[in-house]
Amino acid sequence: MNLKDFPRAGDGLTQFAKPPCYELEGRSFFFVMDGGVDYELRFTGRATLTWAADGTEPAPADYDCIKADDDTYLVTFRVFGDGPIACHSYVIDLAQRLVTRHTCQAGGNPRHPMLLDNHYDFGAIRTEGYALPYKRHHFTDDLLGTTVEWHWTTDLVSRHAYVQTNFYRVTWEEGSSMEQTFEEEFYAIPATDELARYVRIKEGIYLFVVTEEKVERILGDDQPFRSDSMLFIENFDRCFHVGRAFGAMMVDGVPEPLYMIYGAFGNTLELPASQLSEPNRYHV
Amino acid sequence: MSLATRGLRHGIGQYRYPHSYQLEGSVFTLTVEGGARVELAFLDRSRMTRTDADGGAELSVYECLPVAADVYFVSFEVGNRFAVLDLAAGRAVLIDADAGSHLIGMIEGFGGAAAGETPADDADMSGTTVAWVLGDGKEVRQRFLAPGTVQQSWSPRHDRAHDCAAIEIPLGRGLYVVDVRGFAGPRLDVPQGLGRLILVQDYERMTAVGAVLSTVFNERVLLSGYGRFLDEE
Repeated sequence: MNLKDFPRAGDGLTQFAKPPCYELEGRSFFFVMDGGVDYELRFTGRATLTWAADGTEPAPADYDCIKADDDTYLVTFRVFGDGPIACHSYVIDLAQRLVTRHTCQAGGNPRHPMLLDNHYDFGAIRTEGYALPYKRHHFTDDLLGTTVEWHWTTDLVSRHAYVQTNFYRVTWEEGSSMEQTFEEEFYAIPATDELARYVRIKEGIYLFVVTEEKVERILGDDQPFRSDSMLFIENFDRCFHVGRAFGAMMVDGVPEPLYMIYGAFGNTLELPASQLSEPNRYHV
Repeated sequence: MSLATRGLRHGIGQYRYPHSYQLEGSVFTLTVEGGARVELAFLDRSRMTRTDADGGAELSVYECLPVAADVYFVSFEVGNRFAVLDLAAGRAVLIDADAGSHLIGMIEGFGGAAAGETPADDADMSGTTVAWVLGDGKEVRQRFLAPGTVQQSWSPRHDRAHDCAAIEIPLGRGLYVVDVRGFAGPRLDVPQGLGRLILVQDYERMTAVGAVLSTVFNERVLLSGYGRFLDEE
């Protein structure tokens, strides 16, 4: 057998996902949230937990956990109910005893029922013997001016420019695998700017969440991926990211649920000034 | 300023994965080649003991990096020793860089591996040329010339390739432990003198985790990164 013949596990965006983390098994966390509704997570197994809003019955879920640094964990799971599937994600920051909760779910927009609504809440981890911290993770403009090239797989490389506090711009090398994979979609829209939010977790570590809303509004059924939420923890101290995608993808013309864990390695990137200075086409 | 430049100070250690604390509180009993038993007890996040068959116990600081699901690379501060623990297959490799020994063992209670046995489905690495990117623009290139011989070069001087003695140990599922007695001269991205490179290479994901070290300077840098086959370019 040749080394090249090994099946390329996780071809696509998942190839460079970091190994799964099982360290939280057996632990419980109570999150005191600024939104006024507190949450408890109990990690009952390597991939199972129960979650509950304070005062409600715990519900089971299958979770994924990946580490963004030694003490920062991304925990994400889907919640199945009568309506559209929801995705709940927590950035559990044990070093600062802080937490960020992100949830998203489709179904809130009657004209575009696949659009995802995002909700963010910040809070602290209740820890016996310690006062609750006053500090919080927070929305930030720290990333503005940063350009970075992300290697998702051996072949797939995307270029991110963080251009505005609520948008990012994705570009690619001409003729690259990225262009070949997404060419049809990219050239069918007026710009590759997309809605994004940036949250500072700590020095060098940021939560970055993209929702592919513009492309969903413009292309609707004529695209492979539908209003995906791509949630990253970007570790610029090491220049890698970990994350998850949630939404839907078209299979034989029918949207099917999409959920995956991914990761990438980054490097510095100088983008042409023209790509950075181009105005956001979606803004007046 | 771009935040992407922030990690450059780590050099070839830039892409190192977060430490894993998964082994904290675990005790593994290994049966190695020849039937000897070794116990590894991970006391907490940073301290462990190794107890050999003769009862001699050694306390050491350790660092652990995840390689793949249930596979860990452990660096012991004492004695330039390393362990690769494949809990999925129940296989372990104990590396003593000072002594130049590689013990292949089975982990009691995990998987079905036998001591000293490597998987039968291992690939022939000969003829493969691969680059492992360990930081921004920083890579090591390895050309597997024949079993036991790797031609290796470090960025930015890939014109200075050296034929090096190497040991390749297949773990199965595309995983290989590759230990190269290499060369780390001046003006390379690898710190000068840290010529010994031990990587657990995952050919299913094209990622690698390991360390570069010097047994005489007693220094090491833990590494992670991604790979690409060069002869495909």
